[in-house]
This record gives sequence, structure tokens and C-alpha cells, in this order.
Amino acid sequence: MWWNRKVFLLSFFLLGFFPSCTEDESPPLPGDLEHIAYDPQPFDLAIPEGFPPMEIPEDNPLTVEGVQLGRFLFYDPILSKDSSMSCSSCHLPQGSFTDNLALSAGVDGLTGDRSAMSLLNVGFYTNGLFWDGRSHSLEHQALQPVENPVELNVMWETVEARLRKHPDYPAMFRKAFGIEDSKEITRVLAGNAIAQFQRTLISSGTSKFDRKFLNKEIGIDFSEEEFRGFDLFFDNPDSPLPDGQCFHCHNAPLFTIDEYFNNGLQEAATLDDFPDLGRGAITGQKIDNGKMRAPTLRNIMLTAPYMHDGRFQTIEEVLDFYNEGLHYADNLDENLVIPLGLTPQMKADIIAFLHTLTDTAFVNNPQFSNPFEP
Amino acid sequence: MQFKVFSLILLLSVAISSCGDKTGKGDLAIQFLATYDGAPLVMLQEYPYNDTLDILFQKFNFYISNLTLLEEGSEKEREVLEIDFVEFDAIDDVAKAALGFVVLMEDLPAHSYKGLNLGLGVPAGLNATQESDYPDSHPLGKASHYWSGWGSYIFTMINGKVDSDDDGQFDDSSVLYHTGSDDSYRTKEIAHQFRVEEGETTTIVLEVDLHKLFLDTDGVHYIDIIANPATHDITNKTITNLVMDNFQNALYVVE
Repeated sequence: MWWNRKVFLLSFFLLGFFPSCTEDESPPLPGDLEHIAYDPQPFDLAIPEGFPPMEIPEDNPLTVEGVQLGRFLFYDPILSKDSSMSCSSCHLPQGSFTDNLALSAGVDGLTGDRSAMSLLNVGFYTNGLFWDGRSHSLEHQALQPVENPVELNVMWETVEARLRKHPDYPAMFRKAFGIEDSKEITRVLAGNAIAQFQRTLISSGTSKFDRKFLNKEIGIDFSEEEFRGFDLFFDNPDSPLPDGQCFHCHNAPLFTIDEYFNNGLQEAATLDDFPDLGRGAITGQKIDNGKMRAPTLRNIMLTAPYMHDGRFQTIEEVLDFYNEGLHYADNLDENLVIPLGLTPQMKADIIAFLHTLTDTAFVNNPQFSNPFEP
Repeated sequence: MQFKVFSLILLLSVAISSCGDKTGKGDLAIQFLATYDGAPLVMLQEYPYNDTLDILFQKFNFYISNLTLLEEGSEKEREVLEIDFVEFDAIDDVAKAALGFVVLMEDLPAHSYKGLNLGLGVPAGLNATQESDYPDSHPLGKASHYWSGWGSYIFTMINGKVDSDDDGQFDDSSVLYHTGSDDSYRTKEIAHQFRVEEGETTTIVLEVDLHKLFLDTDGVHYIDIIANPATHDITNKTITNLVMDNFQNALYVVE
């Protein structure tokens, strides 16, 4: 008898482990998308030689279908209040996914106070996105501009409703994420798709720098000017040229170290007085006030104007600023305390080197172009 | 009937064991604290460097590696950590300084130990790799800490600014003491009796006095940081190696 009692108790215990087996098993109503096949194919990222591996979240793996959906959403003005603007309005391929404006205007003509950042290689960053690092992931970042009053300025509920009744998107969401019904289209899935597309925005590996130093191709020659610029940029210990202090924040291969700095751009009497607190507004730490993300210098010749507020129209102005125009603060980057003392020739050399980072194959890659255009 | 009971018990055992067996295991936390002349090290805070200079720091970080625990009652060393990165760069007040930076090693065998060994820097095998071999979030994936000119990781990074004219602005010179290359790698053996208890976290506090990293060869005076503001010359590693020797001596366990 005691055996029976034990079996009963154990069975009762097990039932507690698997309660779902005992729930109502009546068949659910079929979704409106279930007739469409769900067979997502893995997307193979083409990461150039010498680049680091990319960290992709386990809950948003790249698929051909997800990337394609993300590309359509990226270029579709359906994500804006009056269907006049899309992500691509401020991130155009020919500007290395910037808009080449100091400040961008949103759907209502309002402008923000920061310049649109390049999305080149954005999938490699793990230390926050935007100039101030306020987004922890591409999935989070992709959701932000939609409701921002100075950008696309529309509630996600509205966008979700538009996507659910769209003639094409429900099937695309089904193929990308396996949803069974168009009602399951959410901002999270839309953000995931856009994030997937953004992770594909990777250098082609064919810039002059890449071909010479990462691919080590024979026959790619740097001019004397470019070599001197290289030495200045990286503080080559074999060169008598001084340290141009560039690589500390813009090291290869991504030409950003994915961190935040006060580069002396803003004048502030104390750490509390920066006009734009930047990173400090996010971390709440005074030592971060006035700091901004060091952007990539890949394709820098295609992304003017420069700095977080687009105040410099030319790269020459940027070099002049670093050479002689910095504002002191206690958290001014320590590499920039002493004036660089670059001669006009040295500045020209650095600019010549920066030209070797131009990647026209990236900006002309048809996989990144607007799918709504022929 | 017996078979049924056996099957049920087996099923339960599998279910329970899948939760992770922590039996006989505990965690070890190494809490690193940074000080300057015995005071808590706080970034952007002013400290006297010598009789004529004041200094403030903006970065102090370093790699630790090949951490092994020395088992009590034997010569056995248990390797518990290959590489990690310790940084004090975000410490902006005394309260955070008191917490320091914690490296946690989980699920170690409960055992008594008589000490630990650790490397200061990146050991040669790993130093032969480069940051592009690792994802961004890996300790060795930091583009800020790989210098292709040296073909080395930056083992320790000490960055700051100097006020030499006493005007309150630290704009007279920078201090960029970066160490690296295989011959700068150091190891430290620390004798310390401790026990990793089952189901508990044992904490060891290691403290480093940053000012002592600047001691000159006489062990009394401090390196002339105005004449030697940076350690970027790969042909002259005198200061680099001196800083690492000092680091070895300035790191100790807080009993």
C-alpha cells in the first residue's frame, strides 16, 4: 500500500512540474499568416580580414528574411508621422549612412541638437549607441527615432497598425519571425529586423588602408604623404614624427575604440556647465559630462560636417581645432592637453592618410540601397 | 511497480540535476582597491605628486591573468582565471572607491588555500593575439588597449594630467604611462590563508597604491613625469619595466 501512496505522491509532484500538459487543449483559431511557409535562412555576414567578430544576440539571429525586412523598414516612410521620412532620410548610403547635415530636420521641420551618426560598422559596437551611448543595443536603438518629436514623430501603436494592414509586410514578418497572425506584428519585431539590417552595414574591406594593411595585397602603394600620415596617426614608434594623438580614440581596425571623450570642443567653466552634457546625462556621473562617442573615421571624407553638432564643415577645420583650439576642463582627454604642434605639412599628411579609409564599395553596395528604387 | 517508482525517481533526478549541481562549490571574489598614498583613488581628484607637482588621474586600469589558487596541504595550483581587465576609470567618489572593482570566479571547489598567483599584464601566448581576434566585449577585444606599433596589449594604463604652476588647471603636462610587451609581464605570488566555502562567496581584497607605481629606482623619489610624460618609446622600456616592477611591489592583500 505504501508503494501506491508513494507513486501517487510522486505523480502528483510531477504534475506540478508539467502543468501545461493539463491545460485546455482545444485547437486555437488559425492565424491569417499560417498558410505562408516559415523557413528562415541564416544570413552569412561578410566580415573583412582583420576585423573583429561581431556579437549577435541569441534572441535575434540574422536571417536572410529578417535582414530583407529590416532593409525595407529602414527605407520605408511608413515609420513616420506623415509618411514623408524614413530612417534613410538621415542615414543615406552616399554619406556613409549620414545625411551630410550639421543637424537633421524631422517630419515637422524641427531639428535636434546632434548630427546624424554614420551607421558604418555599427553592429560591432557594444558600449552604447548614439553620441551619448543612451541605447544599449541596436534593437533598442532602432525603436527610438520613431517616436522622437524631432525625428519621425509617430507613436509606435500607429506604425504597428499600419504594418498589420499593409499588403506586404505581414507576410514578410511571417517569413522573418514565424508569427502566425498579422496581429503579432510588434515594434519589437520591427526593431529586431532593422537591427538585423544595420548589422550588415559592414566595410567592404577594399579601402586603400584595408588592402594594404589588413589584406596585405601586393602592389598597393602608399604615397610618402600617406605613410607620414599613417605614422602621425598611429604614433609609429619607428618614425621620428610626433604623436598626432589620433589612434588613442580612433584605433584600427574600426577606427573608433567605442568609448566616450571630452575632446575639448565645448567651453565649460566647470564640469556642470557643458551646453551638451553628452554621456554624463546618461550615466549621471559628472566626470562623463561633455563626453561624446568617438565616431569611426572610416569614410570620414564622406561624412562632413564634423563633430556631434556638425560645427566643422571641413576636415581641415577639424585638424586646426585639434592643433590649437581646445577648451580646457578637468576631464579634457589627457592625450589632448598639450597642443599637438602639427605643421601644415603634417596636417596634410594626416588628411592624406584619412583618404585611404574611404570605402566607396561600401556606399555603393547594392545590398544596402533603397529597395523601393529601381 | 518498482520499475515505475524507479522511472519516476530517475526523471526527478534528471530534472533536479539540470538546474546545476553546486554541491561542494563556492564562489571567490577578488576585490581590487586602488589608493594613492593610502587615500582612496578617485578620478579627477587632485593629489600631490611631489613637492612641486599636483596630479589628477583619468584612467587607471590593467590586465590580470593566469590566476591560480595554491591548495593547502599540497603543491597543487588550481587555475581559475585566464584573463580579465580591472579598471578604476569610472570611480568618481570615495564610496565607489571603497567598493573598488570586483572579479568574480564562480563554482570553484570548496577547499582551503594558502595563497594565490596572478599575472600582471597579458602573458606571451595571449599577447601574440590582437584585439581583432576577439569580440568587442571580451577583455582582449579592447581596441583602446592594443598597440600595433608595439605588437602588444597595453598591460597597464595610467593616464592623468599635471598642474605644475599651481594655477589649479591640470593643463601643464599629461601623464600617459602605458606598459606592454612580453618583457613587461610580471607575476605576483600572494600568501594568504583562505577557504572557499560551499554555497558562499569568499572575498579577498587586493589593494594597489598608485603613487608607488611612480617610484624611481632609488625607491624613495618619484619618476620625473615632466621630463618623462609618456612611455611610448619601444626602444626605451626603462620606465615601462620600472612601473611594472613597482606594480608587483605595490599590490598586496588586505588582511
